[in-house]
Amino acid sequence: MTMDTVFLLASLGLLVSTALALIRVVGGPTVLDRIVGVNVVGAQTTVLLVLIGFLFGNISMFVDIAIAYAMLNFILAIGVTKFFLRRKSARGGSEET
Amino acid sequence: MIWQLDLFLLTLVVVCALGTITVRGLLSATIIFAAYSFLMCLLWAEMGAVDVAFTEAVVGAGVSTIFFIAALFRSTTRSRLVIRGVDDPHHLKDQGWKILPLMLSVITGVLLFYGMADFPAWGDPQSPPNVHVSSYYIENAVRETQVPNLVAAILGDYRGYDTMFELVVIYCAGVSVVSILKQENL
Repeated sequence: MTMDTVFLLASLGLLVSTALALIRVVGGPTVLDRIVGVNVVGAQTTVLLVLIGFLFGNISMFVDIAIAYAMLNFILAIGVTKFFLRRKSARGGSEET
Repeated sequence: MIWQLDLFLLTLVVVCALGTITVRGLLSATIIFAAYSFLMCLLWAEMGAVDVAFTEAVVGAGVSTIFFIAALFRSTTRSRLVIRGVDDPHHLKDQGWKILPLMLSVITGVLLFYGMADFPAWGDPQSPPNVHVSSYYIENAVRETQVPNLVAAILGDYRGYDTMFELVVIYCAGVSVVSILKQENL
């Protein structure tokens, strides 16, 4: 088993867990489920980007993108939760689905 | 291109797209759309288009989601259907009008697939852009433009007018976004 096969199998396994997280994102009963789900998807795609970089044999370029990606994931979670909190305090009730 | 990853990623992208258009509530749709952008970026990176992947990550997942959320600040997150109730007679009347956009989308999709048949194969070294234009740029760019960076030479010199008006468009978009966001404190 070569190293490429290992990376390929690892990325396929990560994609399976991404699919599991996507179940929560698409079907999740509350908005908070979706936010956490997107965060998990973002974290997994960060790792997947590095794995794809290994598969292409050009790791330095993909690490840069993975870092920017992780940052964007964080910004996204902050923005959505900020909106969620503000909406909740403005309406005095919880947001549904 | 790694076909196993490709197939899996495309399936997840389609699931995300269907989730975006079927879910009730605009905030949820925005969040699922962010997941869609993340997966799309992965797809670009996996095809080797790293710069496009970077743009998709920044614009698709980052900025546009924030803009969507900023727009949601000024509107209600509930769709009309939820407020009026599904068994409302108006809802049934609206359903007829939705056939037209659906037909339009399907026809456009079929036409796009039809046009796709003429595309050269992915990564084909004998395709016209790779044979004529690229080799010309690689051979003559430094001598003609005196720019050591090939991408800068193409964007700033060979496609100078294109880049100039693109910058005008981006400037206008930036000015309008700033002027809209300045009206109220977010």
